[in-house]
Amino acid sequence: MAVVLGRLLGSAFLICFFTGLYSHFIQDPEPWMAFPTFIPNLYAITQGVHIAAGIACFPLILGKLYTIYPRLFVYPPITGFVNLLERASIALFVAASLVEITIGMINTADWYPFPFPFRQTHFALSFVIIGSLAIHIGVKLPIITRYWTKKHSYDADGVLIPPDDDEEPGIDRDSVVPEHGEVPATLPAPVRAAAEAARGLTGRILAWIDATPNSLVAKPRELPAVGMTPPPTPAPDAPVIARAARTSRRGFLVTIFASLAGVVAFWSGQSFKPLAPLNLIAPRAQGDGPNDLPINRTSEMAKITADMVGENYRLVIKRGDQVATFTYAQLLAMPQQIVQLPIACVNGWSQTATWKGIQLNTLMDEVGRKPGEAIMLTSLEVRGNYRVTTMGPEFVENDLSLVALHLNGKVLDIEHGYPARMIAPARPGVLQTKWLSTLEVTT
Amino acid sequence: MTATASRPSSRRSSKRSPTTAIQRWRIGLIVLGVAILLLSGYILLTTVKPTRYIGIVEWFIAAIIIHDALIAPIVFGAGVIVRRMGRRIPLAVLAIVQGGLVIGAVFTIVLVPEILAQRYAHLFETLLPFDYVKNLGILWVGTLVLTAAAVVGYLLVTRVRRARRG
Repeated sequence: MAVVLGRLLGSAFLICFFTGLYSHFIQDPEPWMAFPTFIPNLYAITQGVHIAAGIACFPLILGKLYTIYPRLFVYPPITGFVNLLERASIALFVAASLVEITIGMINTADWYPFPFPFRQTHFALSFVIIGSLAIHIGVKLPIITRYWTKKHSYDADGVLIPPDDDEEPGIDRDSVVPEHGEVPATLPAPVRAAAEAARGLTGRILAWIDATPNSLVAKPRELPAVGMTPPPTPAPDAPVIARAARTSRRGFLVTIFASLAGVVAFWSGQSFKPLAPLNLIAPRAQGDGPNDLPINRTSEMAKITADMVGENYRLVIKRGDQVATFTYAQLLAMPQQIVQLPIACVNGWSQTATWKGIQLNTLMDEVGRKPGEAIMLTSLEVRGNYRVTTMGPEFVENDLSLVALHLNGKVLDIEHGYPARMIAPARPGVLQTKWLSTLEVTT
Repeated sequence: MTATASRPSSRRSSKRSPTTAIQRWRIGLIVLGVAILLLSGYILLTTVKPTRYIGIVEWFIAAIIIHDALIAPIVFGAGVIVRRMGRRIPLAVLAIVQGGLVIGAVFTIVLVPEILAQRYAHLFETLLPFDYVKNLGILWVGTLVLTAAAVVGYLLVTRVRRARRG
């Protein structure tokens, strides 16, 4: 079971890692980087998957840690220097994993109660986890390969097959079958195997939990009449014990998968429309907010005043010495396009909306835009991590990229960036600059 | 003579090769893991101020304590109590009940940060729009109803099977 859950958890970690890397670099790209724009929902998908996989890690990691909990209490706790390093790497792995998914989940609620910066720590810890995961898989590889398939893990009675020294000399037998000392040789083989697999105090308690006598012993069909001596309790036989172990195993796995399915189903409605009616636990709800769309940064947080977006508002476009200035009325008078694009937040929520505005490439043509040129976007907001951002040519040249003035059939609400905001395909919400002030060609 | 001598050696090598391959993968993975860990140290050093490291260590220790000394013993203790107290109850029924409790606990773990955030975070329009305490209650009730239905279903199926067997 540790292998079954381990490979699912490992897969979830890798999914989180690669989607996280994508999110990191699309926000802070290296100069040579370009990003695909042919799937407008790409970032909504990658970040939605990132958060869903992160949430799924909770039942998976708790299940995985439960299966190996007895190993925490092995005696002696340290058997040598290599063993010390291995245990230390596991402690680092477990601590980093628990902290990573916890701060990630807290961050989805836009809450930062951490004594460290969220984004940088979340990024660094992802490498700690992947590095520790590689070491852990390396150390446990013989066991992982030995128990990869169910067919090769259990015998005909459904009892776990211990590793064979001849077949798998590399296996750390201690982690599968511990020392035998206290297991009576007179016990039936399956009982002995179960007892042998139980190492340490908690391991023995685990075996004791599973060995509920009533469930293991075949009951007599008829109760003895009053006054008669009850027949001796029959000893459990191998198939009965195997059936009990199978029931425990199945119950455990069904529990893990049901809780995984539950949290993902009741959470993902914030980004996946078919599941929106089930949304009970996500920090956002589709359709909720001004223009029927959630927001992530209010005008108050950005310190946008009525005066800044009133009659004095101007959108400035620059390319070297060439400068074009537009009033809001002039922007409204330009040819307008309608596109369907999502706002896809780094926190995982996303929603597709109908945007109306001026095609970005048309607007940039007013200052003589050339193919392959990137631009810098500046917001009216007084300060903020994303007040000034850049946009690669793949986004500038995309016909779906708009300077939007309308959203879902209404004038853009000030909370969504009135008078004008950026909307482009396959981009995180933080880069869809609100309260646009300046667009300047940089290359 | 040559052929006879080569046979055991080839048999040995064919038997050893999977292990050798695994050993190579093990070494490769461990070296890769150490390299990535060093990279993570570099990232931490260059992006997070050293004054914040103590906070990260505190959270690491807290995570280990909360799991190993709180969550795991509670789950473990609940397992012991349910299994050993329920001696006259079929194992499958106990497993279903345990499963229901664990599923409810996982919902609780996921919802607690949002319930706390509603109280302590800087809230704004559209953030945390639900009554999460109420929704947690709905999920617990739903889980308990489904758990009870699964127990009843199991008991009915086993009764029908027994009746058929005579």
